[in-house]
Amino acid sequence: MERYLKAGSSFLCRQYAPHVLVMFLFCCMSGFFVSLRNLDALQAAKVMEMYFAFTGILLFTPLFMPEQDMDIFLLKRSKAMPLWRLYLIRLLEAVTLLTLVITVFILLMKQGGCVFSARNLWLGAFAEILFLGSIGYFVSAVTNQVVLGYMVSIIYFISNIGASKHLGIFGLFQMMRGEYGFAPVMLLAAAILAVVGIVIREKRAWS
Amino acid sequence: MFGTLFVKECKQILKSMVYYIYVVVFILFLSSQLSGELSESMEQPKPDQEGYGIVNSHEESAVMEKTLAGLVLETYHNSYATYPMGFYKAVTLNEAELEKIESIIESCTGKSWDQVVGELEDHFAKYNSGSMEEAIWAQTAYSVLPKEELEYQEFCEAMEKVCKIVGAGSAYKKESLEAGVGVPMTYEQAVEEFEALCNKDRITGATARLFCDYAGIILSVLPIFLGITRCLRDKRAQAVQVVYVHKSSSLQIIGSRYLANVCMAFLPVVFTSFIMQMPYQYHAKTLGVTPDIFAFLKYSCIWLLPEIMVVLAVSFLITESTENVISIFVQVFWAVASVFTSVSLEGNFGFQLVARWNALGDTNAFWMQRQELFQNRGFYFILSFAVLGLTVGIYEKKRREGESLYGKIFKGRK
Amino acid sequence: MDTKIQIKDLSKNFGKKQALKHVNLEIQQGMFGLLGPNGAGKTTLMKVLTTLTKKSSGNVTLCDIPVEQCQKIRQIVGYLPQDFSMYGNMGAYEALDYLAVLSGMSKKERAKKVPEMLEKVNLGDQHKTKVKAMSGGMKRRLGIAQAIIHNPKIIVVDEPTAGLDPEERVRFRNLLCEIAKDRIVILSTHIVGDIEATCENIAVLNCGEILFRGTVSQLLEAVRGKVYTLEVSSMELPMIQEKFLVTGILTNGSTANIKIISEGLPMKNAKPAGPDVEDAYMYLMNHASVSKSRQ
Repeated sequence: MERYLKAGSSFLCRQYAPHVLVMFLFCCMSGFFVSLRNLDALQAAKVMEMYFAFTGILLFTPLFMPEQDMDIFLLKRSKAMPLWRLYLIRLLEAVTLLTLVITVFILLMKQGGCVFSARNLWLGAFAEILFLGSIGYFVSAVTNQVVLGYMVSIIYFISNIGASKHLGIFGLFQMMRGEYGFAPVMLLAAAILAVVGIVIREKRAWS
Repeated sequence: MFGTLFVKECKQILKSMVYYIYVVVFILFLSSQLSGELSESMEQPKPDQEGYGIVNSHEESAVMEKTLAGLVLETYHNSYATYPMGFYKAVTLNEAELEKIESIIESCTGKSWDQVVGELEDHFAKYNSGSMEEAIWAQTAYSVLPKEELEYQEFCEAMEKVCKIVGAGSAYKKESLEAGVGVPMTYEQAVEEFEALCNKDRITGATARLFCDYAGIILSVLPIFLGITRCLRDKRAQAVQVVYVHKSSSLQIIGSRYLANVCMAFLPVVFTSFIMQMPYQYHAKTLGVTPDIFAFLKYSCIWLLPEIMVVLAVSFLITESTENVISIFVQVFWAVASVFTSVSLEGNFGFQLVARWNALGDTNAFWMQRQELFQNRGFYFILSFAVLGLTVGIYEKKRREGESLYGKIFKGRK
Repeated sequence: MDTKIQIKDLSKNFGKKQALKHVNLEIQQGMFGLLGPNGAGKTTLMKVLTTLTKKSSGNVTLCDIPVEQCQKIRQIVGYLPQDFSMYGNMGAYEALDYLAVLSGMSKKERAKKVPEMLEKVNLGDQHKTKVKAMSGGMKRRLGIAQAIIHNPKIIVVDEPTAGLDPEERVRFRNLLCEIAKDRIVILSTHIVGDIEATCENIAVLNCGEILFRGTVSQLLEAVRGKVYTLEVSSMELPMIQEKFLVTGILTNGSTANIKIISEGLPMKNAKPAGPDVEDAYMYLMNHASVSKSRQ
């Protein structure tokens, strides 16, 4: 147990900190861009889906950054602790941070006199942001290029602005249209992407 | 040497996955945005048409009518568009605040709030809200008459009070009122507009503007990834020092990489624009207008090339000086900010990275603002060279001293 | 233009840490070995010579050109860094051609030299092999090809044999010797055998200071008559290791044949032996650490 804690905290301090910092700044700046006062359910969903969705990209894409260097990757592979456990620890850290962000901002919205179902919004936002993040996570896992991870997830976000309806259950911004049924499917998809990403990464020896 | 390096860089770009994603996304984005039958809206106006579009007006009575109409609509929906830091922010008011706004409206119109709402609902009931076009007509035709004895000065004071309640950067601030309001076009104005479309734009010019409008949005983001990929490539391949010790000057190395990326990024733009302009050339001929075959190329070079150049230059600069992916955050933010801060979707170019002209036509209005667009693009064109120069300087410094300033600051972390 | 390197009173500081302390060296044509433990400042010295890092003080000229004139220096220097690599998706020919362009060679020159160099480093029939698919030895050979392709007067190779198998290592050394016929080749290493096999002139660096400079035979002279072999029981070994500088142990059941360096006859059963470079190096290092601890 101790060594997992150590691995997790080392990642957090050494590599993850700048990314968490960027995310923190992003959240702090929300006051300039979105209002958290007197919103109804659809408006609150808009704030979550259009603004805070980015935290998913910021949190989940860089999780493979430390092993992008081949030598480090091979070195870590040779260690007793299997890499997939390491990845899971990091994933857990990112999920915890995401939970924190969503909870804090939903509480802030409630304080600002917004009217919405906290349970629905929380679940919906969590599933959606996790799903968006897991796209970046998956792409950077499979290609070993973090830049590509950012690129694909950001493009997915942008393309949803115009084409959300055509993407069916996997379209973003569904809560803005009052739909919440996507949450379990997206959660499942996110989990599959995360697991498959790790499996493919483990199977492929980076030549 | 520069030429050979340039060709080799281009070949390298052709081998990278990021580039193919760039091309595919660019083409998909544009074809999804421009696929509609645009030619329909480019017909000779007929005298009995229901509406002809909007034209800007500075007349005091028009400003009062339209501003009040906007205020009533926003109050009715309880959602006020504001731009406190230049970014769009929707403000929602509570009961007490709403009552204050309603009383301001009552004092300006001389009617009760319920009466005003009644008129609003009657007006919109006349249109079919399901159709996008009719909804726009309904919006343009809607206006709220102020009471007769209301002076313009008085009206401005009332709007100041609204500003205090809604918050900074709303449509009711002094600057917005001075910028004028959109009023429906008359038949005569519409004919004049159509003639301008045929003579000045020769049809293809107008469609090229719309193409540049959409392409400009996506091109504020996509080239970032090309720049980052190129700059991080040496580090990833552990080839940094090998490249450093060779004879080529930093200007040749960075310059050839930059130029290759600019050209390769611009290539799909030229290609797509060439394909997309073909139906409009045909359409122009059916209207009896000689199309300007090079309109798309001209507009792309002036409108999009400086944008690609500056986005790439900035991503080169940030990536060379930090050697990590931070420029994604900075530049996506810049792009999104630019798209959301534009006061209008047509013109008001200022120093926006993304120049918008989301309209087919409006030829006269565009030709009036053309100078502003040239200034904007000229500024970014020159800026990109300045930024590139800075990048070369930083690269040379790294080459001589072995590490970047950023590296020095963050050395303790690693 | 004289083919020589002159280093006068060279110092290099990284913040408070002094990586090179008042180094004086003159290097003539031929192979020159730079020996020293890890962290001795070998790489820093080489980076100063190849314009990759700025000196803090002192004077350095390469073929009478001051090192500050980067552009000119880069023209006459070829460098093979410790961890040489290139873009993974390039083939051997492509990578070499790319680097040749960076050296400012014309198309005609490249068309002639690139295949020639690949042939020389034994990559001729593998010119399409991608860099990412190359073994350590192949990469190193490609590295030496790019360092000599523009026919530089000075070639700097940083630990070229680390991580190579014995066969590759021998081949690589021979290649270096061949190249060194009409130019300066500076070879840094912490593997004594490399120096022994290739270099006539050497310098030993420790903690940023030159401990020794001269020829290999001069280095050997310092320990001549101080090297002994003897057979001891394994039990005695720790005691002997504490007392003497042991440079070699060959265990043989309960006894061990050891090689020690001692100012006088250490034990009565010890036999004098011929010194090799490794002994001399160990002696020098030991001397340095003893004199340092006395200060």
